[in-house]
Amino acid sequence: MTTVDLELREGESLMSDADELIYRQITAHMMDGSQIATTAFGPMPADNNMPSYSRSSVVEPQDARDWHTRNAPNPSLGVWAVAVAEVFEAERHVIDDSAVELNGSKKRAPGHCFVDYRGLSRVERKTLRSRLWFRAVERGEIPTKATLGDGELFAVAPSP
Amino acid sequence: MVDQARPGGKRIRLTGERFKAGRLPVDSLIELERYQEVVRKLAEYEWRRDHPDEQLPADFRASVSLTIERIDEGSADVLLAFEQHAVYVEYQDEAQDAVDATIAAAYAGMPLPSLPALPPPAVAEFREEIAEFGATLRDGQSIEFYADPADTTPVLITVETRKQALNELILADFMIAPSDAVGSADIIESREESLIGRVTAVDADSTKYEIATAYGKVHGWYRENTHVLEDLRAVLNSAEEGPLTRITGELRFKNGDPHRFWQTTHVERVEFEDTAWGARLTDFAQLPSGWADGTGAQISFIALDAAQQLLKAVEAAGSSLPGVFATAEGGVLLEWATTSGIHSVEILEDGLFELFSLQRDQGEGVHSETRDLSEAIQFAMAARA
Repeated sequence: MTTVDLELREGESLMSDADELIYRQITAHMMDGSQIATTAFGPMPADNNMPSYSRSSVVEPQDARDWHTRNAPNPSLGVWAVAVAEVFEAERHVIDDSAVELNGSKKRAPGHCFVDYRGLSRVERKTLRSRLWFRAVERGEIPTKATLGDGELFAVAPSP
Repeated sequence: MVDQARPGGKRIRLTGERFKAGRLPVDSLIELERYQEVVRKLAEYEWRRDHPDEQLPADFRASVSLTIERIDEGSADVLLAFEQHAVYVEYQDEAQDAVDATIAAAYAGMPLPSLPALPPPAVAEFREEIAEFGATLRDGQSIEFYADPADTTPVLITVETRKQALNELILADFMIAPSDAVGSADIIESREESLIGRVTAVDADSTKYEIATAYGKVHGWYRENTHVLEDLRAVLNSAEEGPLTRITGELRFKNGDPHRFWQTTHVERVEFEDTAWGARLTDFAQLPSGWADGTGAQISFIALDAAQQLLKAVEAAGSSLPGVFATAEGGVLLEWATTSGIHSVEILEDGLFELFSLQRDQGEGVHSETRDLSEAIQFAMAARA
């Protein structure tokens, strides 16, 4: 994998606590039965090669899931995680961009950070997301519950 | 004042609070523009009918154009006149007569005049455009439409009378419900898109069809793309019995919902195997644009078809089946993933196969590309999940 020049924008900081977990929200289109796609840990086109994660030092996994379900187009079905060290092992880094100024009405999840896929070739992106997949799947799902709707006492199971 | 209008002039009187004292709000100019446009289009058809092998003259459109001659006191009482370009005046007059006669008949509940200059698909389009005349009106407002400035009994267009006219203009066409009409407050977008559903009606005379979808019934034209007629006929059936079909073309959305296919380019039967992965592919075929958090292209039929062929071959060989995923680029990802290794075939939207594998202890994955299905199948068979 190539070494990249890292240039932080105003409000960004490099995450350095190797033990810190970063949470990834898994949605329906990332799953086939119980199998998670490796693409779940990589960027979607809208991410500009900066897929969103959230910092375990800032937000509880349940709160991260609830925030996602209430604010993103597709609800979170569960939370998986990788450690910052595991991203380092894959020769990439994690950037906390929670202090970057937001444009207009955009919202940012609490503890927002991203794994930096910028500048990677297609095969490097596939390799990186696969390596994160190995780690996240070995760790297993981070226990959370389905997000409750307004006024709900019990979660409603998502449609199949 | 009105009787001073020159022959061929048009009087349109707009009534209601917002037009008082001769005011003509800018947003009501669209009504005049609609009238001009529909006369223009019809005049163009008539010219082409008489000059089948010639290009439309460059100055034709500019020559068939309306000008506001005067706005009189009272309500906005607008006197319009067409430019009188001697070479084209007969086409403009003929078109104006046909438009006026259609408006008069629709609002009188009379049979609509025939339009011999137009091919059948264009008749429906022409009438639909006339139906949009008056769409900016609100309760308490009206347009008094004088076919001739000297008329004493204008056609009265209001929210109420327009409902009747829509029935004449649009329901004359068997598939379009009045609620399909577009109002000025509606947000209309148009883009190339596919919808999945069952074709429940086809009208070859009007080059129209109806498809029952998850969004409700959507109507479409195939217009000059007559090659799709046989495909439509082949899948025509009831909403309960018909085969699942994917229609692709220029789809217009009204307030974010699919409204109608303005053009239709492809009609494809969605036929996947009766298996778990077949059900997945069927689901993928139905994904709308933006399915992946606001982005996400519709999954191409080329990718779906290639995925089906590959999965059938793998299943027939008794090899292990992969996880099957849609990709945001419009392709399909087949992934055999265990904690010891990843093996994947990603089918791009244009049918290219990307073959990738990474063992747990490897630094970088092995990646190759091919357009050869058999090579992709061979690679897939090598997966040992």
